Amino acid sequence: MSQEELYKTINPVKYLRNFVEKSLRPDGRDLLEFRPTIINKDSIATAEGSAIIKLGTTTVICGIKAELAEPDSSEPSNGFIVPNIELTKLCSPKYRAIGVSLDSQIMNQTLYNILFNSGCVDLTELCIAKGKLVWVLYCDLVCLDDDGSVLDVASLALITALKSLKLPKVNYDLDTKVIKVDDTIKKGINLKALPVTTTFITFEQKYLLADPTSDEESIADTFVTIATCDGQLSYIYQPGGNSLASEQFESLIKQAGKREKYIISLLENIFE
Amino acid sequence: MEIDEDRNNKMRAIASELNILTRSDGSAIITQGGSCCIASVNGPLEVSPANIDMNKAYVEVIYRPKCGLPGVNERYKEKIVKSLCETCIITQLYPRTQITVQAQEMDDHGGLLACAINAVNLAIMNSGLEMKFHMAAIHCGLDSDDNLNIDPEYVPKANLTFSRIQRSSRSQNFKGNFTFVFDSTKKSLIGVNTDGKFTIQQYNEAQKLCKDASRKIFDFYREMVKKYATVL
Repeated sequence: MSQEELYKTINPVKYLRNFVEKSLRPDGRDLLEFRPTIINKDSIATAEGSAIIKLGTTTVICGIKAELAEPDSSEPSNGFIVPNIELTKLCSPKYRAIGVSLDSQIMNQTLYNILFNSGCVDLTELCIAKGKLVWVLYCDLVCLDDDGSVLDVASLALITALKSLKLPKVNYDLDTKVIKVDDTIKKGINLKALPVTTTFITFEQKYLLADPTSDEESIADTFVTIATCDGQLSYIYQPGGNSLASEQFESLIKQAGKREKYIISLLENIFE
Repeated sequence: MEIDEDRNNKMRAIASELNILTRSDGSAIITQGGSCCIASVNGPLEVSPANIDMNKAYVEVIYRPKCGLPGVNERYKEKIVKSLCETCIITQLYPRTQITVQAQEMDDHGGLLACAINAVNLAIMNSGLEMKFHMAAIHCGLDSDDNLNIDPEYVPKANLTFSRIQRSSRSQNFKGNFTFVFDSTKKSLIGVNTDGKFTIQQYNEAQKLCKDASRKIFDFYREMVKKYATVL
């Protein structure tokens, strides 16, 4: 173990403080700089929509499986979108149980909130025959490597996969109840907005760090997650921890806005 | 953006009672308008080896809905209450122990998360665990005409069908919902949860309104202490 690694192990807080005092991060980034983002769509041939997103080394893969089902009687013309993320020991030792852990349950709800707060998908678009047949989109996300900011990566993976979604044409005969799937005609769904999630942490109350790595996350005072879409805010989440001054908060929103523009331009590029 | 002065500054009536459960270390019931929540705190207790922390207490939060089994939405609320409890309790004073907090929804007429956080705060206060500060949670709704409503009341429609659908926690009447949590010492923001879509100005405005309104909650806490701490 090198001297530096040893120092980091013994006193991680002081180690990071030495860097941020010089406006640098251990991986060479500026405080508000993001890691390189890699977006890959249609990665899984057997899924109706899929994406792999890498942010630095944090990797999340998303595959959407579409199934047909009967709608809920209270909302007969709405389809379903079920995001489900797997956070297992594969991606980080901090997750305890295999299968449905508490962390993944919470992240599922968060992803759901981010998706629907922004009004991204109109569930009525997933309707085939009102009250009879709708699409259910099982969005399965697997985190392969958790090196911080998993939520940002997961939400981007979900959005990219939804954008790459191609559903076959389905004909439903109301009288005979025969379902005919026509695989030759495939159509995407219309996304009304693209929410982009950005996570920030504060360190020792005065330093703001964007896109934290898992080492930085473990010694953070507080987390702030902001989702923006079309210049508006669609989700702000800060679960306790130290408070932020309002100027700090303003600068975070500004950064989140910049990040949104960048991600949207990336998405426009690959979906040309 | 129009702000309705009359509606803004009016919070729903708050009533509370401490020590309502005999077997908990601390318990409280709070009603804010039609929303009602019971909280119970036990601790420091023995901690299971899996959760043991050598430097501080492990905080467990259980959030129970009024009917049915807790689902992912409840887990999400638990996470928020848990991190808030970890912030306000001086957990370093109780190393290698567990503190269990349970919040039980009694009735939901809007702003239930805020109501639950306030109930938990009162229960912790009642339990005698050392706290860094008190926390006051305020709910604010943004209606379709872009008016902000502090602590709005809404009467839920009877929903007889149990539904499998995952839902967001939005109160149906509002296009945006904010829950802000402030601390009692610096009156600064320690927690936020929002849903719906809104502009930065609306967010800032809502935060300002809620910060002003949080004083009423803190005054209410003060009265509660006066009423119950008769020895002092």
